This record gives sequence, C-alpha cells and structure tokens, in this order.
Amino acid sequence: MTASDAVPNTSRDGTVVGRVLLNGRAVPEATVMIVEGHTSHPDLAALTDDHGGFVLGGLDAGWYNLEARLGDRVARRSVELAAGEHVTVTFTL
Amino acid sequence: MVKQPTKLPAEGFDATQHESAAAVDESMSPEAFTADIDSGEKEFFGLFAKLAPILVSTVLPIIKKRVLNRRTLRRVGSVVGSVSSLAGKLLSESDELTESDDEVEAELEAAAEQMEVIIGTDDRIRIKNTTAIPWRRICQLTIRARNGAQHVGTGFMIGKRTVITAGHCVYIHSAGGWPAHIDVSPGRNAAVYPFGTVRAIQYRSVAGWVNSKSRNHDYGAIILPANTPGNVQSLGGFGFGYWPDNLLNQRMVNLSGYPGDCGKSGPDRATGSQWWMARRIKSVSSRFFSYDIDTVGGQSGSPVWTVINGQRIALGIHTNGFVGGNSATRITKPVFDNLKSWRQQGS
Repeated sequence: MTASDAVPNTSRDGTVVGRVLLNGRAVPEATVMIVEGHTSHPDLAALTDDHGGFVLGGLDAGWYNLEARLGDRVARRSVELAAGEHVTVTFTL
Repeated sequence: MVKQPTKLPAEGFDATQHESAAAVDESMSPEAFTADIDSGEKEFFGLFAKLAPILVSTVLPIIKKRVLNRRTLRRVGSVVGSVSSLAGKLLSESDELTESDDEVEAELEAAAEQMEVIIGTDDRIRIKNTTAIPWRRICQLTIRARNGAQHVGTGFMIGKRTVITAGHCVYIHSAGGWPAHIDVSPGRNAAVYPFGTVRAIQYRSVAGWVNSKSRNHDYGAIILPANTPGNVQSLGGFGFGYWPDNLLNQRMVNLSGYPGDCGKSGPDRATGSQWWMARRIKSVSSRFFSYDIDTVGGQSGSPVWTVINGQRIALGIHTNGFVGGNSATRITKPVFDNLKSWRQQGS
C-alpha cells in the first residue's frame, strides 16, 4: 500500500440543492454541475425538474465551482461546504 | 419496481483486501486481451478515417514521418513509454515489412493504431460521427433517481446489453439508492439519437459501493432489458483488462463522454454532445488512477481506454473530478471478474 492509496475517511454527505431561474421563472431540464472542485467529487451532473430544482449530493467538505447551463445561457456560483453540510444555491440564467 | 440483487458481489473494501488487490498478478493476463473483446472488428483504421478530417493537419505529418522513417517508427516504442511488451510486438511486426505500398499501408495502420497516443496533447475534441466505433459504444445516461431527482452521466457498452458506468450512477446514496430508471442513449450526438434510447431498470454494483460508499469500489453496470432493439445489441463493446502498475504508469489513455458543460467553448458546443481527450496516466494506486484529462459533471462512467492491436481496452471507469487530477476506478482482477459476470448477464 502506498501513500497515494490512502483514501480519506470522509463523509460524502454534503449536498448542494437549489433552483435555476430565468426571468424569475423556473427552468426545467437545465444542467447543473461541478466544473472545478478542490476536493475529489463525483462527476455526476444534475438535471433540473419541472420546478427548476436540482440536487447534487455525495460531496465531501470543500470548495466547489458550480455551473448551471441551458443551451448558451450560463450562470456560475462558488460554494464552500462543511462536512455533511447542505447548501442552497439559486442560479439565475 | 424491479428488485435489484440482494446479494452483492463480495467485494467490500477492507485493509486486507486492499493489500491483496495491490498484489494482483503482475503478469499480463492473456485473458484480459483476448477473452474480453466483444467485437472482433479492427477498430483503429475506421477511427483514423473518421478523425482524419479533423486531425489530419497535425497528425498526418507525424504519421508520414514515422511511416517513411523506419528508425523513427522504432522509436514509437519509446514514445509509447514503458510498455515494453507492446513496443516489442509493434517493432517485431514492422520489422517484417518491406517498402511496397501495401506494406507502407500496413505500417501506417500501425502508426494509426498509436494515433490516440500521438495526439494526446490536444485539447478536447467534439466527436461528430458518433455512429463510428468506438464512439457509438459510449452512451449518455439520464438517471431518474428514486427520490425524483434527475442526473446525467455516461456509460459504455461491453456486451449486447451490458453498460458499465460509475457506481454512483446506479446507486445514489443521497437520492434513494437504485434509480427508478435510467435512459441509455448510445452515441447520442446533440439532438440526434442514432440508436434511440433504451430505458433500463436493472442495475449491478458491489457491496463496497452500495454498503460502504467506498470510492475504491465506485463502479457498476446497467443491464438493458431483453427487448432492447437489435441495432443496440449489435453495437459491439469495449474490451477490458487489468494491468499491473508498471504498464499503467504514464500510459496514454483516452476518455470520451458527455460533459454537462456541453464541451469547450466554440461552435462545436452543443447539449448532449460527446467529447474526447487523451492524456497520460499520472499516478496509479491499487484501486484507481488519475490523469489530467479535462472532465466535468456528466462524465462519470466514461470509459478510460487504451488501444492494443487495434482493440480498445478499458482500463478504468471515470468517476471523480478534482483540480489535482481527475480519476478512474481502476479495473483490477476483482473488477474484471465482475465485469465479465455482468456481461454474461446481459448476453
């Protein structure tokens, strides 16, 4: 076993939840994803539901750059998660 | 609701197994190269043809130079890196050549086989002909979680009805576990779905992921339904193999999938488009390896593959992003055995 084999025993219980809006209205089928993370994270993207809602779960504590996109419309936010923290973010395209 | 298997493959992580995994047979398993190729097709020349219009200006001069300069061709072995056995095979094949046109073509094939290595320094490239091999075997996944949340990921076919992906695409701990369904779209090309979309409700993963959420065991499979259309079942599949550390280190690998950001800025950017890139593996541990291939959310489950004798061999399953290096679950012997089993279940 090498040093690089060691996997931190982290919770992966952090969650980013939120909505994507355009002109104040919910945007379904927008993609929300982490485009840069200072902590290793699942490369899974979220799709917004009919209410513009999304959930990105399974995250370790750390700092993340997020992006919401629908076609050419883009909004970006940065969040910092504590261990097991649930953070709410609203994107306005 | 389809009941998923209650008895998961006994592949749970513990320190003992971690040690034993590190001690995986260091020799190349012939089985890894021969038994797990679903298609006997020679893929690389088709790939060359498809990519040539895009890459010819940068790649062809290199290939020409290598074809016309046997001494340079011999150096392909060292360019490839520490893969001495591959280099030896490549050289022994080219040593048999003379300079007739046919043989030059054969040598070109050998060089083309390494093309993905040669152009590995380029940035992401949009794959526009997703009906060609191997791109058609890469699928966009639209995942409807048990709690109603939706996600997007990537998977790749290894058999008629078996799609390999990340464990966190088939079992989402934060969203109710096994998804309600996953829509699988092989070779999606933006608004075009050349092979349609198949809705799947059967999944596979391992105890190390489902019960322990261990990043070391983040892999799984989707078994497409028995009534999956024939044109999907005949797409062919990636081969897969488990390699020792010394062959993985610095190996040039390819990754192609469906990034949520729709690819890099420019006219090629489009929702649901497939993007490819290659880089060398930069670090290897017993259960995963990392690289500087650009990825974003949506590419979990992408194949990370190399090319051997014209066959594409998946060595890992992309799972994680990280500014210090994105990473894949490494195909070790236990992973290899499970993939074989799951392929059988989807045959």
